[in-house]
Formats: sequence, C-alpha cells, structure tokens
Amino acid sequence: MKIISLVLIICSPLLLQGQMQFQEIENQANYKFGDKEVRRIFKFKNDGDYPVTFNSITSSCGCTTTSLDKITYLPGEEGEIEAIFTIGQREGLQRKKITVLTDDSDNSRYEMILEVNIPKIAEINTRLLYWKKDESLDPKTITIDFQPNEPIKITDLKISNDSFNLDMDEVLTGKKYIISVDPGTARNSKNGNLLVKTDFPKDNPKIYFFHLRVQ
Amino acid sequence: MNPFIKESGLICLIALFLSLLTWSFHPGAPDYHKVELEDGEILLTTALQSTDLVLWVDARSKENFELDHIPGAILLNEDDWEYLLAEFMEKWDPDLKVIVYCDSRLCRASKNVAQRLQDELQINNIYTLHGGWETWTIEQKR
Repeated sequence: MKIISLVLIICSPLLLQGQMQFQEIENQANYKFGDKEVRRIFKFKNDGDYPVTFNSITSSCGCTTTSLDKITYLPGEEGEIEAIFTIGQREGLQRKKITVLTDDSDNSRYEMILEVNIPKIAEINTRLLYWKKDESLDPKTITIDFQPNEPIKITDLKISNDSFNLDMDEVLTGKKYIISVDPGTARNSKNGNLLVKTDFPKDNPKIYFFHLRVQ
Repeated sequence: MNPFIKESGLICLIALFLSLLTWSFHPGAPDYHKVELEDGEILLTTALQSTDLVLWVDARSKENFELDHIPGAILLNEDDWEYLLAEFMEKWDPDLKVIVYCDSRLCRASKNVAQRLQDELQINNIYTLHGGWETWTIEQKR
C-alpha cells in the first residue's frame, strides 16, 4: 500500500497534463512592411475522454484579439484559436501571451505566445531637438536612415512654428536624409512640432513627429 | 502530561521565541514584504511620497483610458505612437518625473513605451509603475 501511495505521489504531476493538446505553444508570425495586422492559428485537439469547455481566452495586450469557432469540444474533436495582432505603430520584437482557461479539472490553464518581429522603417537619431537655457543656438540635425531596400521619398515637411528654419539634404538617394533645424538667433523660449511625411508604405505612408524646443 | 511531550514542547517554544527575536532584530534578516522591482520600476507609494512633479503616462488602450485613468495622466501607447507622442511633448518638461503605467504587473506596454521614450527622445527620469493600473485601483479602495 505504501509503495502504491509513493508511486501515485511521484506520478501525480504526469497525470495532470490535461486533455487539450496544442500543436504549438509558441507561434512566430511573419510581418512585412505595411501590414496592419498579423494572424496566427493555434491548433488543438481534445485528446481526453470527456468534453472540455473553454471558459476564457485573454491576451497580455489589448492589441491582440482571439476568436474561437465554438466553446465546447468533444473527445477527439479538433479546433483552432485564431490570434489577431494589430500592429498599430509598434516596432521591434513583440511577444504577446495568450492565456486559455478551460473547465478541464486535470489542467484548466494553457499559455501560448504569439511572437512578431516588426523591423523599423527608419533609424532616427532623435525625435527631440532641445536647446537648453545655457546652450548656444546653433542648428541641430535630424538624421533619418530608411531601412527597406526600396527607395523612400520624404514628400513633405510641415512645421508648426515658422521661426524655426529647416534645410533638408538627401544624403543617399531614397535612403538617408539629414534635416537641419535652425532655431534663429532670438533667445526666447519657444517650441514647435515638425511632421515629416514619407511615401512608404504606399497604402499607409508613414509620418514621423519631431518636437523642437528652445528653453 | 508525558515528560517527553512536555520537554519537546518547551524546546519548540524556546526555539520559536529565539527565531522571532532574531527575525525582529537581526540587521541581515530577510524582508519578506520587500517587493522585487525590475529595472526602471517605481513603487506607487514611492511615487506618491516623492516631492518631484510627476507626469503620469497611461500606456493602456484608448478605450481603457477613456473609462478611467490616474488624474492628470495622458494617453501614450503604440497603437497611435506618432500622434500621441506629439501630445506627450506638449506636456513634457525636463523637470518632470515621467511614470508610465499599463494594466497590471503582467503587461509589458509600459516598459515598451518607457523604452521608446528613452531611445527616441533621449530623455531620462522615466519610470514604470510597479503593478500598474491594478495597483492604483487597489490603493484607491483602501
């Protein structure tokens, strides 16, 4: 009897695996410039001998939504969870956790990861040009280095305060631009916003915001 | 009473008394209530006790922000970064301590937003709120 109890205690974690078997718990989605969202499927199967009902599916980010065809799956039945990640203006490696809760008494909780790598369209040295009180009013520069292979044009520069003078130089055609910002000579505190419009991606061209401030 | 049980009980009581004494007065005793903070995180109590002026930044979704937010907070998330960044800059001042928060301890939005502010604007004095909005609401109910 003691041996049986000991074996049961040792093996109990193995017995608590749950019925739902997911094919992948980490899913890498491909992204291409201009995509507004990416979708990935998490396939699963009820490998047990009783029905399992999904109680909830939540994501660690409001930017990721999920959908499921139905909530109860019979033994042997297969299904899939579709995860939709809205890109917004995110950049870099994004890892979003999706937590699934079921009524399975053996293991009711499953966690999955949706991973998307969103490369930057441009490397930019700074978004803030700031002249401190004790600093000389020399022009400062913004460098925009576009990363995609195809040429990208800056189509418009819009500034909210005309007392800042702008000068743009296309250093590498369709690739690298330097914008020089001259705050003028008058030592008075002021600020302005600069909008840089591009022609990429074609269907949703990127606009960059910069802030200029003289203290 | 059985003398063995009596002696055992006494030894246990003495041991308990000594260990409590050590835990109370030992300078190197572990602090079981200490919260492990990640890099750049700040506790709500520290933020509220600070004499610095704070610019609260809400990195949650626009919908959640509109439902409720920390008084004076401004919305800045990566759903609409460029537009919201402009609004952030209207409020920002180098003397302000910027504290970014998202839903709870589990979300990463506040960390991402704080990192982008540091990378793109090269400004310092940026923190993320440990426990986020969840901690704020719990504190308000006390």
